[in-house]
Amino acid sequence: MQTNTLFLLLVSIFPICLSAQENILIHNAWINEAPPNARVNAGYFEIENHQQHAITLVQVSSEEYERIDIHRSVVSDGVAKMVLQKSVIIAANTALTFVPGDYHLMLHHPRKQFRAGQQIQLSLMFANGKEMTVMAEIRRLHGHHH
Amino acid sequence: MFSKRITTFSILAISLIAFGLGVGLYSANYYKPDTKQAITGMLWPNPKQLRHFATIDHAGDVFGLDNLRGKWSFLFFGYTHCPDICPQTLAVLNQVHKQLGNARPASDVQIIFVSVDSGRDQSQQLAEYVSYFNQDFIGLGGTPEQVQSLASQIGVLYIIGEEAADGGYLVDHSASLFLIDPDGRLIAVFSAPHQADPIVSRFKKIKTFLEKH
Ligand SMILES: [Cu+2]
Repeated sequence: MQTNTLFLLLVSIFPICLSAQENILIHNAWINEAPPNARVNAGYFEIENHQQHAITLVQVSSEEYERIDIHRSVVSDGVAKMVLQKSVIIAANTALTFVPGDYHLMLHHPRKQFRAGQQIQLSLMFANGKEMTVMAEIRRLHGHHH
Repeated sequence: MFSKRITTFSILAISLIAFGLGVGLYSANYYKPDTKQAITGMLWPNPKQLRHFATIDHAGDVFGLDNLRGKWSFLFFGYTHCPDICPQTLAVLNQVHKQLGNARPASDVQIIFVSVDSGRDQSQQLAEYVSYFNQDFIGLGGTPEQVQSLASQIGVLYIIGEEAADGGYLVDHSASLFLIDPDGRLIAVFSAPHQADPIVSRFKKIKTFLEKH
């Protein structure tokens, strides 16, 4: 009887634990194809936090770039500026989208020139030590609204 | 007598309302093309006449007030080491250029990217940068003084940031789009964020409006 209860308990908890591991989803990761001589690119993605607690993105890195900063573009009084973000918090059960004109990855000094269609691996580090890798597609900007 | 007074009052009120509406409709029709509210961003009745200025274009030639005359010019101020706002705006301007190209010869519209980063953006850098977005785009730069000769007249703000360890720096810059008419007057300022469709429709309205004035 006790064994049965324990078994049921394990069965019911196990799937929860499993999905908790994968309850951060990153999709639609892309990097804008830059003019041939550009020394910086911008990267974007959507991150979904399906957990019951907030997560904090602290760093992004890639073999293909010398350095990556997390930035947010803000326009105030008609002036655009990029503000360095030491970390980005994604609250419990929310999603955050990095898009042109807002949150973006500032990718410094690409190792080579990338063309539309290529895939670049990015590693995202979180405050709790968790690391996720994602493939970002190089895309040409078309100037349409997102 | 009481009811008669009410009737008289009602008739008076109705006719006043009708008269008011008539005037309102009449004036709305009459003034519609003249109200600056009708066209977002238009600086009317006080467009700003630009004076002499001298910048250097992406081919290395002097570009001044005479190069604006006879054409409609869209100006955006930024820098080539700007990965987010600038490429996005230039991609939108490429859409604007395409849409206007379908309507009439594109030759009466020029799209100009002015770099406020004299330290890094020389003619060659600008040429490669702007032509990536559109072969017809014009890149302007020059010494800080040359850039200022244009930027200060338009009231464009920019702040060169502090250098990082690797020598890189950020530049805060105006996010607005400036429209200069064929007489060299600053005729409209469009605020960010930018989208091609509203820019094109406002431009067409402004052009039609000025043809009547
Ligand atoms: Cu940035």
